[in-house]
Amino acid sequence: MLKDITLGQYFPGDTIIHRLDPRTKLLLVLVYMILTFSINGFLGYLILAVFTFGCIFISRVPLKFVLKGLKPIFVFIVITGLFNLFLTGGDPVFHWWIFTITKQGLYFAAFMILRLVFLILGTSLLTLTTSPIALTDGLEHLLSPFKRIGLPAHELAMMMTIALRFIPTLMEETDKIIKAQSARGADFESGNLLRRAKAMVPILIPLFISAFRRADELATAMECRCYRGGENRTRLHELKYTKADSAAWLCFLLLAALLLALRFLPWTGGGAAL
Amino acid sequence: MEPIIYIDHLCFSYHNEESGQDIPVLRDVSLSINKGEFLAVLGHNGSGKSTIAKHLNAILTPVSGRVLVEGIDTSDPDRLYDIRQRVGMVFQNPDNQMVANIVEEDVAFAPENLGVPPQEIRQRVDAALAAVNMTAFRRHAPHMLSGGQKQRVAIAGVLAMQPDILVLDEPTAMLDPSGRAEILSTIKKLNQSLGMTVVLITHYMDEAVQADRVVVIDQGEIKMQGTPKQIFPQVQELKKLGLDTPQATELIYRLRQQGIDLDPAVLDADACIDAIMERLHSIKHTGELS
Amino acid sequence: MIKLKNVGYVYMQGGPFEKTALEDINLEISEGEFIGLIGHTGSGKSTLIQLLNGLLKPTSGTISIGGRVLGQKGTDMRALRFDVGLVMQYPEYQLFEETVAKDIAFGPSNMGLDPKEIEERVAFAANMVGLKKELLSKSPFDLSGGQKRRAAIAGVLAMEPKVLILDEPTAGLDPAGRDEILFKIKDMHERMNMTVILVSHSMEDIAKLADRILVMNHGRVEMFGTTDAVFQQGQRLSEIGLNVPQITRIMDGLKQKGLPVPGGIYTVEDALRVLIPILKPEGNPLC
Repeated sequence: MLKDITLGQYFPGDTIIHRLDPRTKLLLVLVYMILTFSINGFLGYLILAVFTFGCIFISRVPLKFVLKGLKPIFVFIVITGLFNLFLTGGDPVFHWWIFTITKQGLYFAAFMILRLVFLILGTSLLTLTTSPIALTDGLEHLLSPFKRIGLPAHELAMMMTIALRFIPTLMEETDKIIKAQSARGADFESGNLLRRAKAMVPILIPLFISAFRRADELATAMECRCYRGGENRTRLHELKYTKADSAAWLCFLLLAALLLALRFLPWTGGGAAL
Repeated sequence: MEPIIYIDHLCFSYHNEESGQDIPVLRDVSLSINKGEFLAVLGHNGSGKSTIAKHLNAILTPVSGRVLVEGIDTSDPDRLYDIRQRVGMVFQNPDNQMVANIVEEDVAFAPENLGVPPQEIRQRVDAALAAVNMTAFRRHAPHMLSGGQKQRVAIAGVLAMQPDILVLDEPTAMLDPSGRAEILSTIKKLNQSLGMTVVLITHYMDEAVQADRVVVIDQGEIKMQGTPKQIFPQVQELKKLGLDTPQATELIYRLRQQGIDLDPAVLDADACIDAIMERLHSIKHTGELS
Repeated sequence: MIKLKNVGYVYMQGGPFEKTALEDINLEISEGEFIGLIGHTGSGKSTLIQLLNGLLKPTSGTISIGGRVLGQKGTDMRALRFDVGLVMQYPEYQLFEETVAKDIAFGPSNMGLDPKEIEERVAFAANMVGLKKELLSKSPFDLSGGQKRRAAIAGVLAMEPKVLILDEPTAGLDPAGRDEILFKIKDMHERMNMTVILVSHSMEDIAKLADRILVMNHGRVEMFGTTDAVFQQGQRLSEIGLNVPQITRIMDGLKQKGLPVPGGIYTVEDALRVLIPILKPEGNPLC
């Protein structure tokens, strides 16, 4: 049934990675992304791999959950790899018909694939170890300095929270409406595209009407519970930086230093060499 | 008993844009609600009973007349949040009053809005969940709960404001019998052991029967008021207003119509059995005498 | 008319969330019967009605309806839905057309009927549920709650199904609205000679209308018998968490106190018939 789909992909746990402040995790993922793209040698990727799989191990999230994140964009990764493989100019190593593979092409393709894979692994680990509510809280805090330039940080966070809350409800409702209209002989499967699009009307209209009714009632209920925007609001779970957060930052600084050293120090050699 | 809510000649009407006319919903309603009492407001759909509820915490304000909550006039915009914090409101559809996707986060919503310090929010959330017997579900997602459980979470969400008065607007209309029973026993517990003033808006007579006092609304006016034992034996009047009576009360009423002398103030099965048995004993007695 | 043989239904069969909703259901319903279906939430009753109109296919056993065997390859599930009309809970949430008439016409036009026939059916169905003609040209969203409910029921009725299943048609209505809908359903049953299956939590409602009562519990048939027979077993009904009508409890209580009253009484009228001779001094058997 639709309502049994779990939202997001939060994998509850109580490891140090789960307990990190969501702000720390969000910012570190940002740093991680930058690092992923700044590496340009295989040694660097080896270090990153050790670090990433180390984190996954500590988080106790089963590896297959993390790898599942790669599935939806697998095709995209392959295509990007192929583009880099065939469209990069340089010293040819292989030639057949109109296809030429160059040494540089091989390197670029490999790097691109590695970058995308690590990008997904890193962000998957974030969403797997952070509940949607904590993520929303973290985002709200990180965005709050931008309130001064008119960014509605609290409102955005509230919208995300409510969306997360109502997606299962609306999915359940969709299920019911589809059944009700099917019982009246509605046919969603046959006919051309236009016909099928028209067949959606009896589902969409009741769904919209119900969503508006829900929104209206929710707004009243929120007012009754003294909601008046983000001003002077407190939180049940205050975000607090702990020693674990400092430790996490320290680890990342070391990692970044190591990777940047690999890239820029003369003895490691630049470019695509090892 | 001292009144905690005082409704004084309340009139309310909606403005209909199409016809340009004002449609009266409440006509001159005056009512005192006492501290610690369990009051049921009974009426059919469209009788105006929900409109009364919405006046108790200033979702609506009177067109004329006054509503005072602990002496505060609900028309005073500066005291809006004082009133809303004092009068907790629970609505019909439990799905449409929950904000967060984790039970305890949702219960924390109101105290967060009120700026309560985090430690105290924790205490209030725990106490509220305990009061509705939902502590075990504090980390659950609302959509995995039953209707009755969701509605209890909604009640907890209101209790976390520490209100003095709990107003429930048809809280059981969308629930199955076991959900209804859960909610009713929760309400009674809050009223009896925590001394909470409860106003229950309903069209179910079996719920109103359990209240201390019943007010019957029809066409925006108070038509009857009194204890359940005074109200429900008036079977004919209630039927005219589109309302039910307990089968026990109706049975006694109809037996009395047949000229059988029975105590009319009967609301449940046991009392009905007692009344009939008592009558039989007295028949037997007079039978033996004659 | 309807025959279920060893029917079972398992949700998400083979998956990690596998859940058995129905087990080994055997029952027969004849044409023109009025069946009351009762059971608490999760007893399998809503799975059962979805099986009957082909929204779900049984995972085991066979269902035959009017000679059509369901679940076999080549069964036209849509045609089945035209034979078995299902009014879901809170059916007013399925209304979507500009006018009430168009909404009621949705089912018949899905059946591919010609416009004249559709028009007749709309008028007939609206009349059947007691919707006045002038309401037909209105938007369904401008109707009152009770009117919306009746319009939605008319939408299923206009398909002129042989079997009509109603899932808690009175949920959320006040006593007057409830009595009106129940009266209309009884009227339809009598005038159209339809087989009706009424799902309800209210024993009182079912007692008033049904010929036979089907009690579901934990995905199985707990009882299936005449209304009298089912209410004889008040004790068992209470045990499985169903509310017996108050009047039945009163009469059972009086019986326990030694009064000469029969069991299985479930209407105030029947109770009066039994009690008046006992309580009236003249001709009192106790005197």
